[in-house]
Amino acid sequence: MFGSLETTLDLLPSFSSPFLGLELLPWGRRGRPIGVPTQVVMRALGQFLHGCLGWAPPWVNHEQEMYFSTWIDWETSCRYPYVTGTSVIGIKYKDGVLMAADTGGSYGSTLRYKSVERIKPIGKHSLLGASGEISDFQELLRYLDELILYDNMWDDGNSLGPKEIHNYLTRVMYNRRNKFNPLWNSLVLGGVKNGQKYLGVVTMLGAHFEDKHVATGFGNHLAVPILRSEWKEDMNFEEAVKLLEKCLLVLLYRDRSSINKFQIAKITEEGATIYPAYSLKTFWGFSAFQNPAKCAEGTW
Amino acid sequence: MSSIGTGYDLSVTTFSPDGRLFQIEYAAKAVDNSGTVVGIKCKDGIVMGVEKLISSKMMLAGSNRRIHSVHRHSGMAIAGLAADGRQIVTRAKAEATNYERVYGEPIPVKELAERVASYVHLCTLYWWLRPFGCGVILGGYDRDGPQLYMVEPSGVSHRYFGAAIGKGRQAAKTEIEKLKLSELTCREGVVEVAKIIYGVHDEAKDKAFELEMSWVCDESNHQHQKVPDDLLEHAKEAAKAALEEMDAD
Amino acid sequence: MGSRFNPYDNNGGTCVAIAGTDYCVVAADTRMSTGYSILTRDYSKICQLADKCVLSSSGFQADIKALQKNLAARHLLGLLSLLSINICFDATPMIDCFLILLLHARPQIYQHQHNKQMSCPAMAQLLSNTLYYKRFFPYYAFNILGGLDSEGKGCVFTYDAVGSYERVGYSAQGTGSTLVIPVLDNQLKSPSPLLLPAKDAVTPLSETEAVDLVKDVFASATERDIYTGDRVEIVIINASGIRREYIELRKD
Repeated sequence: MFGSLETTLDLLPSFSSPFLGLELLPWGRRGRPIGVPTQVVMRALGQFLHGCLGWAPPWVNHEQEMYFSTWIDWETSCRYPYVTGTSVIGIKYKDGVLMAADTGGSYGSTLRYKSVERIKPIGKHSLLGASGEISDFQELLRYLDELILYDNMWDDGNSLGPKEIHNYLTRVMYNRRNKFNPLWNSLVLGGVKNGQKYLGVVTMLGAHFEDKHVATGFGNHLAVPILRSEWKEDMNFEEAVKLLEKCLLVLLYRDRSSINKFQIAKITEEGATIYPAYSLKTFWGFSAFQNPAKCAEGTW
Repeated sequence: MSSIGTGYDLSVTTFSPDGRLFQIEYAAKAVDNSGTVVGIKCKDGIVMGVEKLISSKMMLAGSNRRIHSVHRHSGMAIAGLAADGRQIVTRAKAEATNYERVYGEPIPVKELAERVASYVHLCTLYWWLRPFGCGVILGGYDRDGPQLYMVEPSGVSHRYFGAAIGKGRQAAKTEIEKLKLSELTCREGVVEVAKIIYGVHDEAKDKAFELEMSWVCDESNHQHQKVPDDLLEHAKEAAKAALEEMDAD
Repeated sequence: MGSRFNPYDNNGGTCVAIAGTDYCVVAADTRMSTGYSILTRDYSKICQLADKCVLSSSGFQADIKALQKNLAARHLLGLLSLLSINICFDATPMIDCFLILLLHARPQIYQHQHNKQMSCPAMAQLLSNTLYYKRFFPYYAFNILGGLDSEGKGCVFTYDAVGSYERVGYSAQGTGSTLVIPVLDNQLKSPSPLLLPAKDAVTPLSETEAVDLVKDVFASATERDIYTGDRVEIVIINASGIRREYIELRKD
């Protein structure tokens, strides 16, 4: 027998709407084949009926059920990310919160996409930055879009603030890990509402916290130490951007999947601004770069 | 009514010998007795207005809304049973979000109206259901511009330049016909709709009412919203002034 | 085929609690880590569940948070009004099953039903049930519940992740517990559970002595346990209410 009815319902639309997947890749985002042969659809349909009605059409035999069940298990328990984004950095500053990330999307070690926007505004008061699986991030954006829409439709002057959004993300991430089907992301949520700055993180498993400066992935190793020594309360915009750029540059030099195309975004009481992508000036002329083995006798 | 006592008015699934469905006609009666709802299509958008009859003086102003947003770009005004209307709004919201989930763009107003109408119609087809006791005016803005639809309890839906349902619909329609809708902006339209609703309201016979208005237009950035408070106040003032002028004549 | 998805993480941290005749000290550090990285230096592991009852937990932060929300909802705390669907924990005889299901088929909120705050021993049983309910997909949470019992005596309950628990005079849980427990054993000499007649588990220390001991054990644990550090949050519960103290620890 296969998983719950819910799992089955979750499966069906993806068979019928392959245009939602990343057609460029040989596999859909959940590792499902995209060009689905009719028999698979029929089998899925049969399984669906079997699941809801306790009845299977004649074309589903026991062997196929077994095949289907192993397929489900494989899907839910052995997922790994396909296209991923690297670090996101977020800091509080005088007027609100700043966030920075590069625009690369890696397919393993291949730089597959070069202009992926990984920082997005959410509602009126928040910014969301994501590292990890890009498609999961985009799915999450769809959830949030709907959440914000349903909130707006009340038209009652209330709006979801960063704290609420952060908590929502926390619940979504934790729920998915409980289903053994996580959204493969580390998320940074920043925002300002009623003069209150907010900066928090949610991990893939649903663990979450707030801080004055945060970074995901490699950034936690390379950017956070810089932030700890150089971040100050109430930095102005220029100082804060400079600090972020310093972190980005270190990441660019040392994080292999980082690329030299960055986006910085700010959120203040006035709203969100996402600046166009730009490059930083790099310097590769250090002698250690030109002859890296010089001082490392006996290696390489 | 000729049907009474003939037994053909007990079920929506039984036609009368002359081909009528009395239950649906009765549902339409519920709509005809409610406060007037007016929608007009101006050159840059849609304006909707409701004469919301106040059932109790203790009711909080602004509560029991009769205009609801259905999506970013569309909204619905309800005449008839408000609770039935909310059911339709919920379904319309679900259809709209579902469409966007599948096709990645907001639902065209025409599509939305069709889906809502077929839902309303569906409830006229089974003996264990009762038709909705309400009619809705649906206004929206998509890439084909602003559109206005009206869905009746029978499930019939038509597209309109101007529509009115409820008690004062006849007078309201006459007034709408006098407007130059193709030249009217929504800002002007708001005042006109307010005037119509104040005009058709029968001070002597009806309960007190609250004017509820919304629009989807260029000025609201193609979003369905309540008409801004200051504009609504201005429209009310203008409507009252117009009434007094008429009385003076 | 790749490795199985691991739904757990250990975010580290140490919790300590000491019960005296008329007080209870509950303490935990505020570091939150994953692997060799520190995620944040200021995350409180202590959660107040009732007037005279606090929960201190280390383990996987997301599970801990879920557990805290669950307990808070059962007890109904002002800040949390989660409508969790109530679950029937009892191993009910089949005949009564239907009736019990009916009784439990709505959110049952202690304060609404009993018009009082839950006592610490009651919360202790509830926590055990809550943990045991997830026996086959456990909350990765190592808890110490501290507070005052209905007689005003200090009490400490110590747990494993699946709900087995014991009332003790003092306890430590989490990554630094192996460093802390021997010191507490040596300093507090809990009466043997085999003694007859049974002796009180509360420690003979005064409140200030207990707080000082807690500060010392945390300073010591921080020296050797990489997951303990930054700051200790000390919560002291006595007849006059709840008080909090903070002491800085090594940041490395």
